[in-house]
This record gives sequence, structure tokens and C-alpha cells, in this order.
Amino acid sequence: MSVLQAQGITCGYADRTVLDRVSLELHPGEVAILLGANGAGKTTLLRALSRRLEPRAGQVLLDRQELSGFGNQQLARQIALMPQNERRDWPLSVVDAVSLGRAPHRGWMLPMTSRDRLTVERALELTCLRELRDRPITELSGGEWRRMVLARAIAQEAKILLLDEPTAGLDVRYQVEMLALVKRMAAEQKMVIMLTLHDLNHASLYGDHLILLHDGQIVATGKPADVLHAERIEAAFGIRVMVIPHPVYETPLVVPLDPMDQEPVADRADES
Amino acid sequence: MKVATLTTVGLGVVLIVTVVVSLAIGTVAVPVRGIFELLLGMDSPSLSSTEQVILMQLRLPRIFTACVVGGALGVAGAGYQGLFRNPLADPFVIGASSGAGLGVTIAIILGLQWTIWGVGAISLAALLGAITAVAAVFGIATAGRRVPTLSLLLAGVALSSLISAIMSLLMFINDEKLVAIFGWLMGSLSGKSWSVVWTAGGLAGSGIVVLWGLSRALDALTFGEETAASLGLSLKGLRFLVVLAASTATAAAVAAAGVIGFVGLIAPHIARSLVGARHVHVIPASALVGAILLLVADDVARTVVAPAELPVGVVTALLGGPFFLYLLKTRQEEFVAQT
Repeated sequence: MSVLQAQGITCGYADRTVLDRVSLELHPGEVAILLGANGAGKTTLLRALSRRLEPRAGQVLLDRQELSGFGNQQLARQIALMPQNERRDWPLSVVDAVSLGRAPHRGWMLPMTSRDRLTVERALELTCLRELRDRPITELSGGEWRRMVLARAIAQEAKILLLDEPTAGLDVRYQVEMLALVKRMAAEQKMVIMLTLHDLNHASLYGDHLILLHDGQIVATGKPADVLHAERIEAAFGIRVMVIPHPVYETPLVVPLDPMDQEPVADRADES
Repeated sequence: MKVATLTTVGLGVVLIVTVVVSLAIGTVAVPVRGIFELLLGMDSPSLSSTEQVILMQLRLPRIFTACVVGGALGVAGAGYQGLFRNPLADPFVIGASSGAGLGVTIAIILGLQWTIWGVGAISLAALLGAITAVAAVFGIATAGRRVPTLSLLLAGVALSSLISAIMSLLMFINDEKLVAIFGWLMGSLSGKSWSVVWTAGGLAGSGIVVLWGLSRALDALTFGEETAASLGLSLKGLRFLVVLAASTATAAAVAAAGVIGFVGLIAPHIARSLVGARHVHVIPASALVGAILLLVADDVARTVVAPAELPVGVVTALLGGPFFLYLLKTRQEEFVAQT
């Protein structure tokens, strides 16, 4: 059972502090969703949790051991990171690109074993990429490319998956499919999954655990119903919203209001 | 995968054919049948003793040098392109060749003659020059965590000009060595002995083997450094090894045959179009394509104005310059978007 913890981490770039004493704990089987305005520190937190960025203070613990004590490949067998943007300079085929997810297990020199190939095939299957296996990654659409990255992370067989805006640039169908797949993986394989998302309603539907970041600090954390309150969202995003129950699932549904409309909102669902 | 392997074997066959043809042509034409007899170690009654001397002492060492130098430049180009994730990187463009050239110029002027384990002072000076130049260009061109094409090219061009100026200055001051340095700088494969083949082959071979071993790591780099690192790759280690290996190959080539441009640029492009993008195929294919290219260029250099010869560097520049410009023109949008 892998557990990822941050204990009072402070992170920044040059003279700018982005995260200020952030603590959190991620559990297996749960989808944790990181929310917050642009610049709130979401990406920085994911980078710190995956050791791409060294915290200035505090520590990140994986199974109660400090992250800095892990070797590169050892860590890559535990944590897979899907950055917001990735380059693709050479036209590798999809299957070759996904196969690189096996590198933490197989190393950089040894040939792939039949088990490696099986894992890659399963990852392609899960992400519906079988038909595109021979397509050069330079020719993938935005959505196909995100699925390729997810397949590579699945092939990596890490128990902890950190995804930075996995639904950005996807049409609504692939957004929902991506989130449903991620949720299923977390539940079935007891994975620790954390992702950043801009759509509060998707977060409400698919998140087991939401974390709201504002100005480098966690201002709310817990189940969607505990986090998605109108005042908090208004403070974190600087917009006026109304939160009503989802007509089908009863989960909180966040409806933005016109910023020009200054009339007070008569009855807010979460105030009653 | 099978296709790529077959293509690589096919390239090997083309190289062998090119070697045989190159042996046959020249000021003195030698019958192909005799060449096969000689290569297979049989008594060759159809060859005169003069022809045997021409083949064994003149053409074979020269042709093997061309193969080693071309292969080394091709692989070095593939390595630099993979590391910088930039299709315009090559030993010549990013300053490795001129750095090696400066190293050799200094070694010639100082009259260094010693060798360590069979590797001469000239080769070591070339290696040192190449690594220093690449490190400088990389350092200057790095913007944040990326190496934009434009800054890479500008830094390479600027550093190369600076190095050329220093070399000219050194030659001006030491004019008694001018002919030796200048003849060597033009890039030439004539008059190479077997010892050149062995030294260059050993150095270039070790660089090629190391780069080949780094193939998968170079593949992972295509996603960018953040992802490559999250796949468990040690970026510092990879950068160090690739620069060392590619610069060793470049230095071997420059020490053996002078500054020969564009082979390292063109060979990986042809290789990629033939065997796909995976470095495990690109690297051996770049070696083979580089060897074939330089061999053909040398055949042209020594036959078009026979019995005189053109410097082979002039021929590769005449062929490679337009190719470089063509790349720049056709892939302009990409490069602009990157910068």
C-alpha cells in the first residue's frame, strides 16, 4: 500500500514562493483532484510530489521514506508523472513511445521481455490506442496524444499517478472517458491518483478527495460536498458562483454567474 | 522492427558494394574480379604487383578511413541531434568540428608527438577541443530548460567564427606550419596509412558503441526532460555520456581527416527516413549512411579532376550546404514555432 505525504513543503522559483507550508496525504484507491486558479501552485505541487522540484522546506514522504532517498529508476517504478506539456521531436510510433514506460523496470539497455510487451499491449488496450499503435506520435491529435501519455504511465506500472491537466484539449467525450478510466484504475488497482483539473463539475463527479489551492496554500480539502462551497470558490477563483445539487447524482454542481450582474443571489443551495 | 533491421542490413550491402566500386575506380582502374580475389585472401593472378600495392597501401587504407570518418560523423550527428532534440545539430554546426580543429592546430604548432595507449596527442587535443566547444555552445544556447534551435545555431555559428579567427591567427603567427595545418583543415583523405585507420576506428568505434547503448535513453528524451526524468533517466549522466561519446567520434574523425562538414547533418536525416525514429536503428543506420556518403564524396573528390584531387571537405560542403538550406527552408515553420 503506497502512501504519498507532503509535510509542510515550501516551494518556489528564484525569489518567488509558490507553495507555502503545504501538507497533504494521498491514499490508495482514491482519486484526489487539485483545484485552484492559474498560478495557485497546482503544477508546482505535482512537481514537488514527483521530485522534479526540491522543496525549500518540509519533506515529501513515500511510504514514510523521504523522496530524496530513492534512486531515479526506483522512484520511477513508484511514481509516474504526466506533465501538462510534452515535446515530441521525433516521430516514434505510439507503441514504441508507450514501451518507454517500461524503462524504469527494464533499464535503458536491456531488451524488452515478453512480460514487458504484454504490459504495453494492456496499456494500449485500456486507452483504446490499439488501432493507432503504428502511428507516429508527431501526427497524433491532442486527445490521442494525452491517451498515449496515459498509456505510457500505465505501462510504467507505478502505483502513484500524478496527472497535470489530463483533460486539457480533449473534447467532452474524451474528458469524461479519461476521468472514468482514471477513477476505475484507482479503485481496481488501488492506485494513488492525483490530478489537476479546471472543470469544477468534473472534479465534483470524479474526485474522491478534492484539494483547493489558493495563493500557495490549501484552503479546503475533503469530499466534494465539503470543498465546493460558493464562498470558497469565489475567494479562490474571484468569480461569483452558485452551487446547486446535481439533478441526477446529487453531487455539488457549480454554476458561474455573470460577473457584471451584481444582484445578490437569493437562495444558494449550500447555504440552506 | 523487422523492416528497420532489414533496411540496416541493406545499407550494409550498399556500403560493401560502394567499397568495392571505390577500390576499382581511380587514376588506375583495377578489375573488380581481382579485388574480390585479393579481399578474400586468394592469390590474385589477374592483378599485377603494382595494382596490388595500389590497392593494399593506397586505396584500402584511404577507403577504410573514409568509412570510419563518415560513420563517426554520422553517429556523432545522430547523437547530438538526439541530445539537443534538434534536427539541425551536427558536429560541424554546433562547433564540435571547429573545436576539434583548434585542438589539432595547437597540437601541430606545439609539435606534440607523444601517444598514450596508441592514441596520439593530436587525437586527444581534438577531443578536448570538441568537448569544450560543445559545452560552451550548449551553455550559451540553453534558455531555461530548453535549447531553442535559433540560439543553438547562433551560438554554434558565433563560436565557430571565433574559433576560425583564433586558428587563422595561430597560422599567421606560425607561418612555417601553415601548409601542414591548412592542408589538414581542408579535409582530406589522401595518403592515409593503416595506423590512421586503426586509431580513428578504435576511438570512433568506442563512441559509436556507447551512443548505441544510450539509444533508449535518447528515445525517452523526445518527450522533453521533465518526462524523461520521471521515467527514471538521469539527465546529467546522459548529457555527459552523449557529449563525451559524440565528441570522441567527432574528434576521431577530425584528427584523421580534418574538418569535413555536413556528413553528420545529412546522414541521420537519411537514416531516419529509412529506418524510423528509434535511436537503436537510427544510430547504426547513421553510421552506415555516413560511411557511404563520405566514400562517394571522396570518390568524386579523387576522380573528377584526376590526376589532381579536390579536398573532400569541399565536395561534402558543396553537397551538404544546399541540403542544410533546404531543411531550414522546408521546416521553417517548425523552427520558428520552437523559438
